[in-house]
Amino acid sequence: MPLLALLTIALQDAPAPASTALRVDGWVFMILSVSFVTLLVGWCFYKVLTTPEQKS
Amino acid sequence: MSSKQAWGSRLGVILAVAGSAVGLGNFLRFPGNAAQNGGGAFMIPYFCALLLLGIPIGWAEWTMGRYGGRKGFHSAPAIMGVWGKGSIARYLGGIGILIPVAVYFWYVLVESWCLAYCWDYLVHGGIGLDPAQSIPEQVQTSSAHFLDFTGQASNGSNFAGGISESLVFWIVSTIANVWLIYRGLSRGIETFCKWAMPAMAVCGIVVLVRVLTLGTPDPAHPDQNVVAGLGYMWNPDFSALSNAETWLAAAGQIFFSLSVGFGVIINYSSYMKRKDDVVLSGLTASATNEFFEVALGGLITLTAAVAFMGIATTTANTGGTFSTGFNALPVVFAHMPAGRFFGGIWFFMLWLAAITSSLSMLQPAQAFLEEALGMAKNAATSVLVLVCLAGNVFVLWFSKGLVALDTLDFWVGTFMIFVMAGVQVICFAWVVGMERGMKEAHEGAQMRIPAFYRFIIKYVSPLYLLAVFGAFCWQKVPGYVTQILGDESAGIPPNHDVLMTWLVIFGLIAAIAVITALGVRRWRAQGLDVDGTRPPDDEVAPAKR
Repeated sequence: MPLLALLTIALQDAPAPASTALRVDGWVFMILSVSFVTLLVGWCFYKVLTTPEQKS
Repeated sequence: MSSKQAWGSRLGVILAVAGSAVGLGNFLRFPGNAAQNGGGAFMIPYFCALLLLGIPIGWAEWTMGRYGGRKGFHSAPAIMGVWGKGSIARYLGGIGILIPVAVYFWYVLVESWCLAYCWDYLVHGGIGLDPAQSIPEQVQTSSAHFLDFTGQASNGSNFAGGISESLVFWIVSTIANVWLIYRGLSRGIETFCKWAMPAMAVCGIVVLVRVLTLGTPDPAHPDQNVVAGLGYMWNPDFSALSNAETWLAAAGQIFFSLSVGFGVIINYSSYMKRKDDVVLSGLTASATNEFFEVALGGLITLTAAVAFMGIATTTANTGGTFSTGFNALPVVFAHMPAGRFFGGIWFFMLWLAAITSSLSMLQPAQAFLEEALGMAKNAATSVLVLVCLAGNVFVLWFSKGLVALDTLDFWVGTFMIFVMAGVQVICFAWVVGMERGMKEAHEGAQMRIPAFYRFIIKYVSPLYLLAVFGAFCWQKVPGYVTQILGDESAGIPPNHDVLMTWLVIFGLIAAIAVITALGVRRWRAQGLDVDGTRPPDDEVAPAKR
């Protein structure tokens, strides 16, 4: 069986973690990820809406 | 002629491309993928794939499309012929027509399911789950409802016993799509996306606020709460980073989520003018898709599921778009205060996400028929609608186990996208060359592509794509080949529904190839630069004066 397929099965069969309270590192990843995409989309739309379009 | 069509505004084209990219996968597939592949740690390979694969190939596709438009072309085969300088790239460019049409065959059906569920919540109060049942029983009831609604028991069951609910909502969704396409690029797609995208964001934020304020819905199960849901989704498991599967899943999620290589961006950007920015527009469309995926999809779906169903049931129903969206979430809404309202809002948002995507799937083929066969817009739309109706009926009829849908999704909507994106990035970086490609990208650009992206687009993106494609084929393709051909030694017979679906795919490929051949003759007769051997007319005209 291909290695990746075995890895997939191992992942699927892995038991769910016993405790899932949001840890500090979980908070960090969540805040960084959500902030990154929010700031990126905010900056992009700010640039789009404030920069005049060039004429052909 | 399609050449008369144009975007009304820069914001319009950005929202149209973002609308095409934002779909069910953002809200349903992404969170399951992340939770199963390292939680928060998944975001490391995810953002790597975004920066090394999604954004650069997207920039290349935007640039190629706009350049093709300057030469009077709007369809992927014609534009790829220009960038690939010949027939091979041109015929491979036909994949950019095949993908949106074949995916539309099933996508509009999923869209109609969202609309039907929205209707059920707003009008009937839900899909009839009994809160007195246990959670696993309710998931079972929800799954049974979905199986029955989609006619998965046997082929033709959607057409048994008169007009079923699924047929009614398919007709409604089809009418909505056709009407918007008939209205044209600016008055139809652009206008619709301009209100649908903000509406989708508002719906998403309303549901997000509700989910994040759920607390602990059932005091009898204090472990089932919002913080536990966020933990399930975001707690990092760094050991997953050493697993190739994690990197493959992340790259796949980015790749399909951004719709690069789908054939839509190259068509949409071909209606832009020479000085219209493609760099900032491409980045903004990608960023919008990421916002919906990470900030909304990443915080809503699994958080709500864990808060109401617990981790075990959520894990069992996480991963597949359909299992999460249509089996698990109805149980969540059945237990949520004001679940009828929020369920309706949620499925309305999914319907908006789906229709902004399905709309984009018709436009490339419509432009192809117009410019290759010289058809008028309405005639091209009519032909396309007939083909798509036939394709929809095919998928509706071969509904047993959703095999036809799955086959089209895998071989055309997944496998072919890798091929198309590979062809695009090779033509951009290697056939035309980075110097010419970047110069074209920076025409009218309101931000510069960072210089290191020359190296990334030329070497890293193609190799990354090749690695992901190789791993994807290694992992997924053998199973699907067995599904087609069967395996005598394992006692698996060939699946005739899959073979029928392949006949449809081959039929489409043949039709696109023939139309491309006819188009080439027509374009040459018109004196168009079919093989990309000379600069665009708007570049040489001032020198002549």
